[in-house]
Amino acid sequence: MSASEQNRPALRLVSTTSAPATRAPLPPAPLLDDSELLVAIRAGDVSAATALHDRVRPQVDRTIRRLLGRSDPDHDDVAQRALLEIVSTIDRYRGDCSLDTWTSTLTAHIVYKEIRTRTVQRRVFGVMDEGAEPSSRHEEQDVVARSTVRRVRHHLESMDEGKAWTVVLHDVCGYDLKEIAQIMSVGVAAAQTRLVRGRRELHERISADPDLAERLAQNGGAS
Amino acid sequence: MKPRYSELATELLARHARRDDEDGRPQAAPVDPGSRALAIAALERALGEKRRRTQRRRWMLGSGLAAAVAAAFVVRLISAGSHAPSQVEARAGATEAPVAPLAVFARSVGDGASPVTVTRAGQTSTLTEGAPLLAGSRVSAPAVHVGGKPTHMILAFSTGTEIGLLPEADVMILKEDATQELELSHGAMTAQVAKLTPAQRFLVHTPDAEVEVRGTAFRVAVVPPDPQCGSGTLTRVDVTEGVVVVRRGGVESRVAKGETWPSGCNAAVAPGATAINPAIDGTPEAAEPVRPARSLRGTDAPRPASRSSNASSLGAQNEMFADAIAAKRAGRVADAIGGFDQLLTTYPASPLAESASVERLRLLRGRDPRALAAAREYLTRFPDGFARAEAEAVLAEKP
Repeated sequence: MSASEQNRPALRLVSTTSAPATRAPLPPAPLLDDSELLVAIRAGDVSAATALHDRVRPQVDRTIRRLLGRSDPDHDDVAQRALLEIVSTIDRYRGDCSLDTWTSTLTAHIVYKEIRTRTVQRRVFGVMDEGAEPSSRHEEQDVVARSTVRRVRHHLESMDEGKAWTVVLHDVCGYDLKEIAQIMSVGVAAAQTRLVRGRRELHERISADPDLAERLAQNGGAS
Repeated sequence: MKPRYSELATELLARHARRDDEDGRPQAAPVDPGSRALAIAALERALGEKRRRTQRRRWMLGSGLAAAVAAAFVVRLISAGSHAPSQVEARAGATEAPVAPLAVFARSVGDGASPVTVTRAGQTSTLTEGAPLLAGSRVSAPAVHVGGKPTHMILAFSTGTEIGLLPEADVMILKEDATQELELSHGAMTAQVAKLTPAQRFLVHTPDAEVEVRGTAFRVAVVPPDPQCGSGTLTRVDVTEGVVVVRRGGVESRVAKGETWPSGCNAAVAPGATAINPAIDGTPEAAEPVRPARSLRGTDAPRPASRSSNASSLGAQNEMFADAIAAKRAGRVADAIGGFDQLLTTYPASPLAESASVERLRLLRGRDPRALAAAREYLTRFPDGFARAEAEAVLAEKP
């Protein structure tokens, strides 16, 4: 069994009837606004499944791609788990953030759990994926940036996992401490401590890498 | 304040991510139709399970509330009056505090019951089941013999004490709190007094005596004076269980089980009257099953089983109910159903009977075909019961 197979999540939803390709096209999702959709989900209304999927799936995919990369083999599995997590935790959603934010946080939590099960595959975020093809608009910048990103990634991967995640989630992805606490299943105070210490450690590591420090200084000055 | 290099590094990463967004890369791949179909199917299953969980939670919450109410009721029964005064106070009309007989059961030895009147504050009305009896109420049993047999009525009090009124009995409720105080001015009555706490008292006043009991069964009657018996007292007491204290003319007499007061006199109960408690007199009529009726005019009907003769059975009832609830909570459904069955069979007129019926019905529902019979039985016995809608729903589920 390959390492990749070993690290696949145990939970996989499979079709028990006909193959998806032979299925009749699903009807379009009924038009429900967020409040109607939430009421339906809380009531366990099965007919809201399509509407829920079509409403939150883009945000789920966006979050997964940002955190796991654009071509992660387990993308669909993680997406399904994130969707199910939304259903099972919807009673905790109090409307103090947008449904997109809630979805993103829950998805990030699922991704975090997924990554922690991976012992061989990469343990950092897809946002630092330097293997992707450079875009045509920023090709020249990408060539330079990818090299720099690779060096930063190396330092982050050398750090304590919790601290590295906290720094990336907060300073790169824009999650606040409360959301990070939820994603990583820790307290807000612990998340804050990890952030402070993670930043300091990253700074110290880059300080000890004069070439990268110079590149970042130039890059920062240029931007 | 972010350390300088950390800030520069994360800004670089963030720009990298934003650039992807601008290029549309994260959204570039549309959702595969197969993946969409599988995800929607998974969501449908999850939503269906969520609905079932919600229903189960509501059901459990309802059961929990019912159990809590029942438990609170049991606690109240056990601790009733622990804070109340211990001395006999006012007489008739001295207090406006409501008394709360849980139910009024009528038993017709003949073809049917006759109306029982209640007089209070100068107003007379017909006593109906469930009507609150206030202190100061005078309950008058009719002098009617239906089908040649006397008609009996039972007042069941919240403490578990039951008072049986024989024909023509005239009883006034003087007090109903920690001290239950009645006045028998005419006729005869029987009493099954639940076990009392040290702070509780049960007293019956007759025109010339006072009878105080503690957890016992006895009969007391007002009879024509007999100079040859008890110095012409009007009172007769016959103790079936426990001990009774009779006070008359400043003299206190202790009457134990099997004894009568005054000693050496004839039977305490007026001629023609039949004791309510089968255990008291053991007559065939009295041994017939008792069925609580919704109306004092209701007809008699067979009862599932004979009533326990134990006047102090409240504790046993509580224990049975608590055991059945504990079995239910532990998931031992069969034991729980058996426990409620036992309670209902042994103490069909128990104050806990309705709660036990409902609990039993809920346990049977969806599991056992006996649920239909249980629902019908509940609706027959408690047509206005708190779980009426639930019982009707069970009947509606009938395939």
